[in-house]
Amino acid sequence: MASISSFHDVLIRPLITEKGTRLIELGQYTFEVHREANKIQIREAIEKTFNVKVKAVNTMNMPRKERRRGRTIGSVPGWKKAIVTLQTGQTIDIFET
Amino acid sequence: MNVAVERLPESQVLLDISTDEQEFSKALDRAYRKVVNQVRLPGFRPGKAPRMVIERMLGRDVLIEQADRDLLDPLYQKAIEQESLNPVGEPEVEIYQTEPLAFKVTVQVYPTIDLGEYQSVRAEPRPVAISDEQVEETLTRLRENQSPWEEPAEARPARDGDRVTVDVTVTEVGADEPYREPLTDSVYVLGKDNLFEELRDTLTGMGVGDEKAVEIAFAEDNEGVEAGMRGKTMSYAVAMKKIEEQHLLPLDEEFAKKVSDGKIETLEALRADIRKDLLRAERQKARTEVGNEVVAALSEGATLDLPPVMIDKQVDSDVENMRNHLGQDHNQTLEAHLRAEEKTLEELREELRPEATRRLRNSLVLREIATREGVSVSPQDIDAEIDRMVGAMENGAQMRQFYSSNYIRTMLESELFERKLMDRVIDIATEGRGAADPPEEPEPERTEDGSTIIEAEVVENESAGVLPEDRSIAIDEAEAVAASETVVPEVDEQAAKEPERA
Repeated sequence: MASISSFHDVLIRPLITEKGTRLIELGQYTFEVHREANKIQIREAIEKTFNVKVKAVNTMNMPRKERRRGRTIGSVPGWKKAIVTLQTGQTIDIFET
Repeated sequence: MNVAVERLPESQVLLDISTDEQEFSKALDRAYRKVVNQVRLPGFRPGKAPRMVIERMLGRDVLIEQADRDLLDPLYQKAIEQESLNPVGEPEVEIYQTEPLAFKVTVQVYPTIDLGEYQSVRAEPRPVAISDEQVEETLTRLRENQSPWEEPAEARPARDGDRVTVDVTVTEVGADEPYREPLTDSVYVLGKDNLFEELRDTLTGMGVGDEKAVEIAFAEDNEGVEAGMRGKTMSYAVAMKKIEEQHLLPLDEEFAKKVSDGKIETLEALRADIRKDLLRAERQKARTEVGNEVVAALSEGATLDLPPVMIDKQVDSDVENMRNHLGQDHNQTLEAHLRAEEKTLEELREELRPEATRRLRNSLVLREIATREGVSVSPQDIDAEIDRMVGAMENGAQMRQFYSSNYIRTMLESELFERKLMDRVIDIATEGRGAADPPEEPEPERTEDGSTIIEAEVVENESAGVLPEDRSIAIDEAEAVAASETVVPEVDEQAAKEPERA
């Protein structure tokens, strides 16, 4: 996935984790997103995919991590995480995707 | 919780148990807390996943299933308690609705026993009397047992009534090897011990040192000999090694002292003692007979529907007893016995079943009577019984300690209970006249060392076979009943074995 051709390429998967589910109570949803995607693209993708209004988008780049197997040294690539805050009262069923 | 009870035949009960929403949602909560600790979901530490996540990832059914499983047993127990039922078998459960949980249980329960007019059952006391002939007969037997065997002063051929010591080798005619290991120094009393007629005739007239052989042909259908010898001709080679004759002791005071270890002085007293022992045995017999008669009548008059499980357990324990009996007395496994009888275990069980059913029925009826009549054994009763038994014994303290062990106490308790109950039942049936006529003296005396001189036949009251452990009509009835048949051993016998170990 080299470049972003449409909003379908922006969102990769929802992050269903302990921290993620805790944030849901605050109306914030976490996603792994395309590394090249910017906040505007993410907002657009969320609004179109889930039919909701987005209040704010926070993004961060997660570091790549070293993985060893014996003498071979490799790495899991880094990725971009987005925390999307929705307008109050709106929800996303993140398990559907 | 809602319970609907329906009684089915054979003491089965159908319970329809259902839960309401509220109860069930609580159970779901508990189920979640249980499940969450057991599953690992990526992104969550064990036990930290929220309920919603669990429901979405694993499905709600997982929780429902867990809740059902957790609810089933407590609900069943509660229902049993609420309806005061006494299950004896494994319940059969059928869940017909999972949310909220509703299920049907079929279980066999302790039967309700309608004793009928048990207090109007009547029995006549058995007349007991000991004739002079019986006393003399016993005396003669005692005399024969006690008199010494001696080799005759002058060597002479063996004759009827002599005790001979012989070597016997059995060989099938025509075979080289002996049929079985030759017997050395076998002792027989001619005319008394069970010998083949031909063999006895051969031995009679032989002198010490003589050797003879005789051939005996056994018929194909001779049930009296073991299977391997039927239809064959066996050669018996015998060698006479010793001949002894018996000199009967004179019946006098010496004799009386000898047989009683010096405790009885005169022949008349010995006769009286013998009479007393015989009378006691006779009374015991009367008691057993009357008891059996009464119990049979009581059982007849009662109405109860035995659950099959209890009968099965009874049969199980009978089979087990049989196995032990075969193992101990005949050194044979049950399987070998069955093969010899050409029966399957199933057939054996079928054979035992009617008897087992009858005993179980009697035992349950008696137990019910015990409750109705308030027959029970208190610790004081047991203490008193121990006192009575230990009383005159030597090394009393040691015996007392032995008798005071829990195991023996439990055993005594069941024995006492059985005795008391039987007394009560006989009392009712004979309107207080007792089983024997004339009635017993207050307390049957024992000779000093607790044994009797004469080996009075031990009459076991096997048909009654009443209960151990659990007096108060309660918990695991079937097991108690099953055990009851076995836990009535002779205490004396135990007493003889145990102290050595201590």
